[in-house]
Amino acid sequence: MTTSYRVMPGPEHFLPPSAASMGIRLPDPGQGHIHGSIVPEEEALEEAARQFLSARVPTIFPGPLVLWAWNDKAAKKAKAIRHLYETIKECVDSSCQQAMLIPMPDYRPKYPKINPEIEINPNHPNLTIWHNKIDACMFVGVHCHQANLSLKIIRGGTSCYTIAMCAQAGHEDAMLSVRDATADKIIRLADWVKKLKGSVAPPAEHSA
Amino acid sequence: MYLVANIDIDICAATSCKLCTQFCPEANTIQYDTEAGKDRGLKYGSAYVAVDRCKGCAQCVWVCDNMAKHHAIKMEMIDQIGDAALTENISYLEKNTKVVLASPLRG
Amino acid sequence: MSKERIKIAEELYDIMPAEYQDLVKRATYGNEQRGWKDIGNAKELIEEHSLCAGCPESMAFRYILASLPNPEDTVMVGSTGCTSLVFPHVAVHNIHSLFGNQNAVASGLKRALTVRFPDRHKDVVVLAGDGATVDIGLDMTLQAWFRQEKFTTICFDNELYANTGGQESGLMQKGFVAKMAPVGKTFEKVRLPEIARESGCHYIVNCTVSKPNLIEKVIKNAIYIAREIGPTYLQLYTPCILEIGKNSMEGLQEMRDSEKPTERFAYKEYVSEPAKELLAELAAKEKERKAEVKRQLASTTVTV
Repeated sequence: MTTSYRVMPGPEHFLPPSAASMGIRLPDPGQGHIHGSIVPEEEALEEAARQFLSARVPTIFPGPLVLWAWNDKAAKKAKAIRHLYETIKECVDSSCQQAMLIPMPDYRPKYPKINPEIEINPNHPNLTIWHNKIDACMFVGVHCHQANLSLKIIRGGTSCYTIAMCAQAGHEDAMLSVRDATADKIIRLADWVKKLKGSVAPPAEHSA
Repeated sequence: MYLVANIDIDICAATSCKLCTQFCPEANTIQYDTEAGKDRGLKYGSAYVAVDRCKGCAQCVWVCDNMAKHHAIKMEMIDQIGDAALTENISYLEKNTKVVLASPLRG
Repeated sequence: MSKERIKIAEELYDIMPAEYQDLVKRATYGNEQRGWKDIGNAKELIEEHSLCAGCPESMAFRYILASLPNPEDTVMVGSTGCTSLVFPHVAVHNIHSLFGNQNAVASGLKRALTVRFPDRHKDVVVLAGDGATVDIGLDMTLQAWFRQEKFTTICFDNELYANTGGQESGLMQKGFVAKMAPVGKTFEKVRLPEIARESGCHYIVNCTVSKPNLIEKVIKNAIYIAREIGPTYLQLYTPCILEIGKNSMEGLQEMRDSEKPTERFAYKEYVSEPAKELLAELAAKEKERKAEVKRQLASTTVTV
């Protein structure tokens, strides 16, 4: 099936359609997707690194699957995520860019409200994105259903570029997705960020 | 503005019954600090209210007045209680809690 | 035990919000002596929730969560009602399925956990309102007891459907007029504790939640007996202050009034013969433990 629909940064509208319903399909092993088009995985990683380097506030949102050290794999991934964050922080221009690492500790509708400075909640992820003016983010370690929900809300109400580093089959609702994430793959993304340092233009001074 | 519970340390630290802590319907809202008021020469520690979690039901006032008969808790307007305990300033120690009082009015 | 798995990844520890750090460091997971005395000094397993100001049900939640003997190996099964507003904010595994089928879900869960973890105590606790237990889910509740499923059923009895505005429930007292039951109830309050006894429950208590130490005792007894012998049932009075027209600070007084000897929530307890033996055994062990602690304390003071 072919489709002309492309998963682009929003704001799309209040209730954006799920990308799957618009004919976007998931990548096969060894592949990723950019805006819904299937590409080789390496190309997706490179583009993700470019997005991080050209964003004003590149942010990583680690979810419960990596925040909690419930097995060795999760602990390793947490280490890789910290490494990626430190790499991004090092490689961006600190005069106009600020890398962030904001956790999504659980999925409950938090009462009475979340503190958008220190956490993100899948039921209203837009609050954290608006508050911190985040323009590129990566989800990692978030369960599929909650990630899809969040990615759609973000696409609906913000202009943030979303990247999904998925441990399963990828996310069609993100603008860019890599599947079967492991600690190694996250480190490979960090390597791409290092490699592209200096070759990507930092965000323009007065753009949105 | 709205009402929150406010505990008089001088009365509370003289008896230390901890009844309000037990009967407060909210979790981790009325906490106990065994060191509160020791520097002022009071006998025991005192309970304190995390005002950001207090829903203002006044169950603790009822307990203090009718069960303990200490009359140490009053409902007061949040802008008139001065510095108070906030959840973010509470630290949990081995068998006690510690709080740094701060202004409950932010922004 | 499962406590080792309640751990934040080292590299991401510093970015976690403080309440999760406190929960890992200062909650009472893994403490065998945990109980209502930790309240006020330790991090509780319940966060801010959306129940009304002064709701006695939230007191009940605090006491129950403080008294579970091993919360890290406990799964709670909830049902529709005010309790389902609290469960998302509770740091114990919990399941919410359909309205009324909580005991059926718990039966399957308990059996699966027994097969999956044969060398470990996995407690299952059902916590539902009176509508779910007595009206909508009575079938599932009774069938689970008939089959002698080994888990605890707790009923938060507020004597009406409070969450939806005050409709009549089976546990409402005769003659009571509620907002959505203007005629008044025409028949007696269902005698579920007696039905539970006849259905094979081994430990049954009918009381209010006005005394935290009592709640700790009955919760622990109910869970220990459910582990070894069979189904147990607790019926706890948690009045809905809004629906019975009380002020927010009058919940405790209402419970104290209803537990007077002639009232409907006077403390009533039934313990089956095998359960009595188990409780006596546990009491002897506890006595031995306390004596041991005392001996150790005495010996350390001597050496110092």
